[in-house]
Amino acid sequence: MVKCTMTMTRNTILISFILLLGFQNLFAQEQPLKDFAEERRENKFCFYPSTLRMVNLANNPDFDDLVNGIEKLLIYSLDSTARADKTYKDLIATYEELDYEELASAYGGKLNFYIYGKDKEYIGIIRQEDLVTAFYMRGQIAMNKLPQLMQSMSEGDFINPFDFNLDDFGKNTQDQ
Amino acid sequence: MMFLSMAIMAQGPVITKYFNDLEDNENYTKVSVSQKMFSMFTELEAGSDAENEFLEAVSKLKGLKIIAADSVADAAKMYKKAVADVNKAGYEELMSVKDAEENMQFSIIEKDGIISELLMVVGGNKSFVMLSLYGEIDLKNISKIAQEMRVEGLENLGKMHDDHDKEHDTY
Repeated sequence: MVKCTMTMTRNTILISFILLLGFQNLFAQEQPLKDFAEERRENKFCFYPSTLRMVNLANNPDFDDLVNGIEKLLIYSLDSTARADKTYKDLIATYEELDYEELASAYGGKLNFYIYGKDKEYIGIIRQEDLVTAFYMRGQIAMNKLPQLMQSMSEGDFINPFDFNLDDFGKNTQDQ
Repeated sequence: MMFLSMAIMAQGPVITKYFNDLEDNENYTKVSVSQKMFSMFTELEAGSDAENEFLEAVSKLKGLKIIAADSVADAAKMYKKAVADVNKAGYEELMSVKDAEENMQFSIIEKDGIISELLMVVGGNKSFVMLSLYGEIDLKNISKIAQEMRVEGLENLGKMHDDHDKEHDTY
């Protein structure tokens, strides 16, 4: 009787866990980005923890610490039409309506970016000269590792996932 | 209206004015980091005492705004105007540095022993930076924040490090 109850409890926990994962995906708010970017993309990259570590060429421990809590990172490089008409600003408005809050922004000059977040989900637009990148990230990021990473990025310790081309990186990371 | 003016006060009246004035000027990069971003630091676990000090200091910040330009013809004029505006707005000058390369002034807003804003203005031959750090600021941790964050323009805050003890005594 006790054994039967334990088995039932285990099954209940397992089913609850599976349902929870299902609901998590259901509530994940990457869809507005996908709806916007799928028709305007040049490239699309989708990283999960295992593939994200592959860009860490120099095995930089800060990088591993930073990405440790990331569940998913979706990156789109947008096409010339999206770059020209600046409709990516509409995407930000869409996420503002979903109660995403501005975390950081920079505009004017050579580098422009907008980063918004809500709970453990983040979206951002980064524009550097003729390159516009949109991303969605789910998970937790070790913010205190960011400054060291920016430094490492400039020293080429790892491939900058926001600014690489397919010649530099294995095409198996593409999520087509 | 009262809430609006309180929000502007929290962000610093001078930097807010310059943000608005230079909104469409592509020569100036405007950077803004929100309180939400800083609050995310509180969710982290410190790996060392130094990291703990940094996280504690950062978690008390409510925002960071930077206006920066590295190639503007009127940099010297902008610096003079900005310093005049800062002094006129009632900031207390903390430290100023003048040399052949660039001029720099650090000012604060302080009430009841708590610094609510640190404003830095830097003017070179062609460069201009205005940086406002607001929230609850402990001068002892400024150089630590500057060192760890490595944000463009923020490294100038580290220049307060050498004079820190002196400043802290006089403050």
